[in-house]
Amino acid sequence: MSNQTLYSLLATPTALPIATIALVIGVFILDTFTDVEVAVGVLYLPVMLVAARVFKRRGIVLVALGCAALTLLGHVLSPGNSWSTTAILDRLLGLAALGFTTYLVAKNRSAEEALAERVQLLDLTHDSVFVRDAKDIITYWNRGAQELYGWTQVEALGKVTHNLLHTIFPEPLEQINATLLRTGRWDGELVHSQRDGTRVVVASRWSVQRDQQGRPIGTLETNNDITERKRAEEYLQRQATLLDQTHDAIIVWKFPGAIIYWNRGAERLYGYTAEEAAGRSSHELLRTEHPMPAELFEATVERDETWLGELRHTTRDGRKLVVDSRHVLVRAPDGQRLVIETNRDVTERRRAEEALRRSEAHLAQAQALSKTGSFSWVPNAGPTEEQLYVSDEWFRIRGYDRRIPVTPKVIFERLHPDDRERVQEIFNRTLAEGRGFDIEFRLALPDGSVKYLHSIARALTDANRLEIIGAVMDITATKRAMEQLQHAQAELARITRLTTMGQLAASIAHEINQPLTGVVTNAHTALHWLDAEHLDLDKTRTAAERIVRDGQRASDVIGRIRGMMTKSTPQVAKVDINGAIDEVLALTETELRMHSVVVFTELARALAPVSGDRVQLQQVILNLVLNAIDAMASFSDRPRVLRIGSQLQTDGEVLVSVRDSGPGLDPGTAEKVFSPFFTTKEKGIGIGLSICRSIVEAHGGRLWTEPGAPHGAIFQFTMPTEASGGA
Amino acid sequence: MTDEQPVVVVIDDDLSVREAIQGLLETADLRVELFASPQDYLKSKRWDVPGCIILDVRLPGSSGLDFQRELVGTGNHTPIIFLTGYADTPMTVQAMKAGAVEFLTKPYRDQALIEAVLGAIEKDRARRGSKRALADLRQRLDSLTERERQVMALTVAGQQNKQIAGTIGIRDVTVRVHRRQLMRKMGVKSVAELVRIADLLRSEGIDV
Repeated sequence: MSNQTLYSLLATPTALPIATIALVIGVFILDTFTDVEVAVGVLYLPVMLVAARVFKRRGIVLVALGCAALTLLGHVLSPGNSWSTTAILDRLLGLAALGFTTYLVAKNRSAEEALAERVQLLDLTHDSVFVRDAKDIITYWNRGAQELYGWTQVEALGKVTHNLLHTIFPEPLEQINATLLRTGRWDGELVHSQRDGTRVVVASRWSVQRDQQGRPIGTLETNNDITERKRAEEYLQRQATLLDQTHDAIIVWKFPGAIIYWNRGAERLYGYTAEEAAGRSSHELLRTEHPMPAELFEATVERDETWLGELRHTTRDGRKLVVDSRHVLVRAPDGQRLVIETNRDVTERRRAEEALRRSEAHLAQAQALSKTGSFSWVPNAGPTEEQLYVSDEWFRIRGYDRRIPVTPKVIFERLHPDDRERVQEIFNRTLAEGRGFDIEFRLALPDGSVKYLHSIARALTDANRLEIIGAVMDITATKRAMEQLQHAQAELARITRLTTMGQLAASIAHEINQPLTGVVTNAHTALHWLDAEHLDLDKTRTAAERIVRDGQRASDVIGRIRGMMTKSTPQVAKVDINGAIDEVLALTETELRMHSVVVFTELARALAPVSGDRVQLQQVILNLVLNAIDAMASFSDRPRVLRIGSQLQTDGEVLVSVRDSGPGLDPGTAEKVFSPFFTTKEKGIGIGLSICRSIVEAHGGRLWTEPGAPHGAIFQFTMPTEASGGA
Repeated sequence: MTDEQPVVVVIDDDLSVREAIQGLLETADLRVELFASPQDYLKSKRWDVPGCIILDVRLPGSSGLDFQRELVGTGNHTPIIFLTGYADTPMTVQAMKAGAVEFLTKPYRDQALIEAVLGAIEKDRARRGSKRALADLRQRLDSLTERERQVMALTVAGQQNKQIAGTIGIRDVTVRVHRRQLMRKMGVKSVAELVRIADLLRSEGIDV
């Protein structure tokens, strides 16, 4: 306590006591050795006032007693009429004034001292504490304030606080003062400037100091430097804001236990608000599905202090999520272990990855099933880009192991030697012209097998970058099937032809029998005339000539038939359609005659040859002629007329038409007649026209029927020629 | 009568066959007339001599069988030898029923054809003979008086003179005169002969 007082005394300016002593001495001299008739003793009052500022109560009383003693001493020593009534009254008045002043000063001082004593305690704290009077002049400035602001007590005392500290108020000062006066307290944050101009943020607490009458005499201001805290808070705020900004869910929970932090991301992801999440167990709240038992999981986190992996969570609305999770175990300053759990929703990514994986699997499957490989080729690929990419199926088609690198050698190696040059040429052209291609070629595989491939590619040009993307399909099976189909069709055509010829069997037999009959009969005749009995060489010759003629005729018939009946493999050659028609008419001559059908031919002269199989084309014509005969068999009240014609179409195609004078086709069945197994005949199997159509179409032509006028039906077909671009 | 030169008609649409048959039949000294179709034959003149027709079953327009029927319909009973490319039993049966004399399958043996032709000619000759005889009988029948025909019918029916006399209501002796008269007219010597002629006429559809 005494130390404190001493310190307090020492802290006061030393000039004042000296001035006081000088003043006392000056007054005493003036009072004693001058004979001024005025009340010089009054001048001790200022001494008291000064002393009041310097000394404590006891000091003030001592100074007052000293001054009183000096007043009395001055009176005794002063020359003149010091005992005059006036002089005595003057002294008494002076003493009274001194005494009264001393009383007031001392009283005031003791109040101040009480305050100062309280204030001194404040030096002990780290807080900065200062006191300012009603005019905001600093009257107390503790060590904390000195440390905080850089101003020493000496520098600070007597200054107006707000000027010294350049205070920035959070609200108008008047308002603060109003609050202060009303409640006696004010709390708030202020910004002060330190001596070096640095700004500090302080938590400021003001309390009003009042005198005994309750009048405010000053304000005690306690300021805590919260700049750091503020900064940290702001930092944390910013951090928190940042954490809120991220899409990741960030959850902090006490290990093991309650959630204490739940960012906006977590709110968004899981649907629980921070308030709802707080205090809950993260695992329970989110129904976490750990990759291992929960206890083991926690043990792992505890041991490793970190864990990375995928978890499954359930949101508030019941959706299942897959999250990429990171658990970090940290120790807070207070020793509390916290887990910072950062979760990123990867559900969509997983889904997309799964979809991509599935899509790739599907593609691979589709490629495998359809035997279609794909490739892309960037001829001028940069160093980071693959020049050639080929799919697994591409390798499989070529019979390569997937792992070998794709090189031009690999591409061209297994091409069929006959196709290599052509493919190479197409590749070169593709490269030169930046165009796609559509080719068929063969592979010759080491095991000796041959594959047929169909490759289609498109060129994608994008700012000097050429990329060729394509697919290559193994069409071997298709090709084989097509060959087999063609073979089967040819065989079917042949069988149908035989069936058709079977219809002609009676006619054919007759046609062969006739000349044979002639031959045999003429031979007998010749033999007869050679008999010596009635030798007649002329008649013998006549008979022999007839034998030759009839034999030739039989041979011709057989030749025609054999042509129609033997071969099955189509042989494509140039066919004179008129010649083919003539032959069919020759073949059916008997049949036509037997049915009393009159034939008119209208064949265009100098017709360009068509390309095709003569026998198959004749089969078509034969079928149409026989159908026409059948169609006209049912009536005899009007002439049976068959008109068969050929003509050149404007598009260069040849049109062959066979029209009859029969009852014609029912419009409903006109198209059905081309369907297999459709027949209007009692004995027909209904395959003839169907085969005819497939033969014609295989030749690139069309076969159709139209009603004839005034009656009958027209069956006609077209055949492409070189002129029409078909042959 | 027997020295009539027979005519063989060949109807076939095939020239080879026609000429060959002609050549062959000429070796047998037969007169052959060739026709490409039944129509041509029908348009031609008729030879009132014995003969036969050689016909292909398959003929343009109508079948040989139809033509056969047609000929019979017009009273032409000239024997027909059918030629066919193949032996078809129903067709053969039908043809034979309709009076065909032969059915030959092409190519036929020369001798078979010649024999068939000669046979057919003989048959025709006989047919023509019996036809003439019948015509004679008919004439004789027509020369009978009403009473004579009456008596003939009853005689053929097996009645005695007395019975006939009773039936008709004339005298016995008159019946005998009529009978002698009609038998002379009909050229028969006995009742048995008369019965045979009556049967023949009846079989030809002539009311006795």
